[in-house]
Amino acid sequence: MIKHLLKLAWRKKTTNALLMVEIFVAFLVTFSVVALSCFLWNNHRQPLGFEWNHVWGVQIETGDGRTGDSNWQADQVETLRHVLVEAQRLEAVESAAGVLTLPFEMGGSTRTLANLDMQVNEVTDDFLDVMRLELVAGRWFTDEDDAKPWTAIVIDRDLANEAFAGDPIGQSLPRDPEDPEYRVVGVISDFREDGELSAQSNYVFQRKNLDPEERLLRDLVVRVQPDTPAEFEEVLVERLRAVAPGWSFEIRDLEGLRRTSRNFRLAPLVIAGVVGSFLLLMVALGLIGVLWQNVTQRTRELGLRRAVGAHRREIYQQILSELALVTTASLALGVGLLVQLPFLDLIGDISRSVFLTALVTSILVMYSLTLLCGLYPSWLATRVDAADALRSE
Amino acid sequence: MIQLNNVTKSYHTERIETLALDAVTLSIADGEFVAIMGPSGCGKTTLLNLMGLLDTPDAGELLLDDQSIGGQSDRKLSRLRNRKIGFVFQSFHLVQDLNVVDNVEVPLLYRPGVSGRERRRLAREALDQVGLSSRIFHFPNQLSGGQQQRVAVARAIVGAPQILLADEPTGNLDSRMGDEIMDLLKQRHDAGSTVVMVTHDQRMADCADRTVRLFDGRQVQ
Repeated sequence: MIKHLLKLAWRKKTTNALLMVEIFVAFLVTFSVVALSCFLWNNHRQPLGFEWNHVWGVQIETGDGRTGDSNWQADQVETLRHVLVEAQRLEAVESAAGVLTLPFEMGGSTRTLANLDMQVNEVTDDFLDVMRLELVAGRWFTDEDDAKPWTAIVIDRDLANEAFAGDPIGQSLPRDPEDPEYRVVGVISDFREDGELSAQSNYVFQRKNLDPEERLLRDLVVRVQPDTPAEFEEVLVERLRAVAPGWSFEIRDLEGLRRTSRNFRLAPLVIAGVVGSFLLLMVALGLIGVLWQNVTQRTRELGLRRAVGAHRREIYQQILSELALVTTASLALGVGLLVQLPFLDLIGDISRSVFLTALVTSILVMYSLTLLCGLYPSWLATRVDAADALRSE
Repeated sequence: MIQLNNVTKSYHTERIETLALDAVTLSIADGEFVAIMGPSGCGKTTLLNLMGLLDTPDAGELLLDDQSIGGQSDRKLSRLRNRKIGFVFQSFHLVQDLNVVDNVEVPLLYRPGVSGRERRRLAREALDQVGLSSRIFHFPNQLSGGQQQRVAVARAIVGAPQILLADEPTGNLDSRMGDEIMDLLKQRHDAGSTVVMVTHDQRMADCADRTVRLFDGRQVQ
């Protein structure tokens, strides 16, 4: 029967070519949306690497018009030390640290060392406690890193695996000769600065010395007691202002930053989803129309098949099988095209397993859609009255 | 073989009811060649459709091989058509997208247990019998009307049915081609098949063992 249907499909190649183009385009769009969904879902399932609940961000304005790229002055370094001490002295505060880029802020710096892309952040020694990072090897930054001829760094596990064959502790990252040496003192499990929906990426924490030679820190992170009321924000700001007259402090809600980051990453999916759904609806209506017309045009053939012994179920199956053949041919073309992408390294941060999952899911979606579109026309085909159909001229 | 007892059939449109057959009682014996004649609209094709299980009577009883077909499921009726009945139509009704041999194979597609190779062998044999073995890969539009009707006869006989129902099989053909088709039907009759043929042509009807005449849905002879 398959051979018979293939012959019929081949003879109707012009009509089928139009159907195939529709299904092919719909498949590519479906794959894009599904791949993006799978990518984000897979990211969401991965550990974030830090705990952001009950952590407040505090943005610092030194009031002298200096930007984040300016270096500290000696008095400012001293003031910042007092700010950190004062913050930690408060009863509602568990710990506080300085940080160049807040989690979820999406403004972090990236660097490429030895052909490896990595996100880099600069933090003071208490950052581990504030963000509750999970140290998996070595140690976090301590005073023993002071006055060393190299800069202490802590890297995430992905980077450790990618950059070093053996134990990364004590190793230096490949660097430009002009750069200071970065020496690995510890490895953390992960740190996905841009939030749950971001892809895993190599991450480096660089120890921030509070020295006049260093760049300004722009933010603090403060871990407060779980039951701390919102009113404490005012108390915190007042106390910090008291030790840093002339500076201003603005509490930044990590939950808000997280929501922004999340929306930023979901926006393309929502847009693609809406456009894709609309397109799929159009394709579905088009398919139903073409199949309906196809069945109407084939009334005599269907009547003849009924006359020579096909029962209704066989007619139903034939129409759906013909559609399945056209769908299979379209999907084969689509899959043939899409499988080139990983080989050409064009799938970006999408892992091969996510790519494969999206491919299989898209195939299932397309088969479901086309077969769903074929149900009514196939049912119509079973309603063809053989006597009427064969009487018509 | 085929028995109709007081069979009545009418068709309904929105406002009109047309009585196509009115209490027809007819018996056709195994191996008989019966011609059905009558003016247009007298119910000949309706009668043939009922005998071919393409339609069901409103009243009365239809028996095939002494078995009533009333209340049979679609699947059962389809299987009976496939195994016992072959159809030849005035307009041939070949599938234009299939070549000759594939057209002839169509009834066997719906017969479980017949392999592709067996289908092809039986189709070639049937085409041999109608003298078209040299045109098996032609498409219907590459054949003359007479050749297309011979393909249709091959399709009707490929499954070796006991009954051959022909609805004006020579109606669209010139006399020479019509005679060729009649020869084929007679061959089937001589081979033991029951042949029921609707025709307007007395010359063709004369080839039959018996002629049934209908007028306004009633059997008049």
